[in-house]
Amino acid sequence: MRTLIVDAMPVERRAMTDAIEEAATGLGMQVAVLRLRDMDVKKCIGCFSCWVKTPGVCALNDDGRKLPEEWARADLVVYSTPVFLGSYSPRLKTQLDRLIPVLLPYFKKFDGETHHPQRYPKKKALVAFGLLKPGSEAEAGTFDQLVHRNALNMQARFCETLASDRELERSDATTILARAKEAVS
Amino acid sequence: MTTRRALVLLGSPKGSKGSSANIGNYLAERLKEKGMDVDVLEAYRSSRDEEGQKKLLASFDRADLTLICFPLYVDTLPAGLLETLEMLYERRGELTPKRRMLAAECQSGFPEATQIDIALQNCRHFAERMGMEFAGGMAIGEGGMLGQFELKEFKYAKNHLALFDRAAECLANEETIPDEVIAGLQRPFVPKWMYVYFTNRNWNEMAKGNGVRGRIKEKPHLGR
Repeated sequence: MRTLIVDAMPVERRAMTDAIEEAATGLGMQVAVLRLRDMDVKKCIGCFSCWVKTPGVCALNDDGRKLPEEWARADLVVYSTPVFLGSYSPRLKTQLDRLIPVLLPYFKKFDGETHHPQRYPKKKALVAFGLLKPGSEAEAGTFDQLVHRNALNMQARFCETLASDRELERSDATTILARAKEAVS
Repeated sequence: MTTRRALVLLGSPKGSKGSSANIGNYLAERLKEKGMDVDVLEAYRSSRDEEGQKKLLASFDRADLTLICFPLYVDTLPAGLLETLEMLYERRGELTPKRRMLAAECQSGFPEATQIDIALQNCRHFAERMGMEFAGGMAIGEGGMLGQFELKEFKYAKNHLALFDRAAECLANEETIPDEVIAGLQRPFVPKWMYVYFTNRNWNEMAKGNGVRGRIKEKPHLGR
């Protein structure tokens, strides 16, 4: 089972991603980690070249191309991110905006709503661990809704989130990743 | 009486072009007509360097009303806008204490305006964090159409423009955007089936123009 961890944590809070990585490895998953803090990812310019000029490949030739490449083969994708306004950190969002090459441009109806079909056939599980700023507990619900909507757009077969202002326990990460593993196995 | 000030913050990477700019500039003009002094700034350009950040921070500080206009990217705010809001949040200690209002407009390429709900919730959280009053969020489906035409010349947008006018009037009067205006803006410009049909056809035509019509579903990262 290929697991892709997208690490958007600052270096001083890397313990959260470490706990996720240890949990995934402990469950026997084949783990790849994209450490966004070490990558040069420019922002999406909304040109849609990845749909109508170079299908499946972003026009910007930088580290932002790595996520769509890894994404295509992953069974489970895990985000490790600070939560800002109930959304992702700007660093993770910069990378996620560069993910539209994994979609096709067309509109199709799924569950009564319009979405883009997937470019790649593999249905994934999506798990997101979020670090809340103190006093922003109300944003955890929005974060959960956002990740589930992303999962709907990628037609994921499993989605779960855990957002807290405390350090992530490895045991909590293991419990959630084990559920994801079961869903995609 | 002091002139009230507004900042219209364009949150698209396309800057002064596209749907966000068309709508943002239209609303800015309406706010000016109602006597407001309005700055229009681009989030992506402003967050690039210290000079841009200072200019944005000063405008935000002066503004009684900030109106964010942006496209939906991956179900939430585009990265450059999120980064700009984070910069404003981190530098909130430099702001003069005063009453401030925040309103938002977001348009999505999807026909259903309800897909924008979470992005507007993100904006509401920003208002809460900054101690601002949230004056309402306007969600527009089929939004890609608004980047292709002058708004006043786009015949299908006539009702929407009237609703934008009402929204601007309310905001200029320090009122929240009425529910019926928000509901009206969520109505599609054209029937959903028509929008989907022509949008899908448009992608094929664009790909054909680039000589890749037969490759549009290519999977470049499989088998590697």
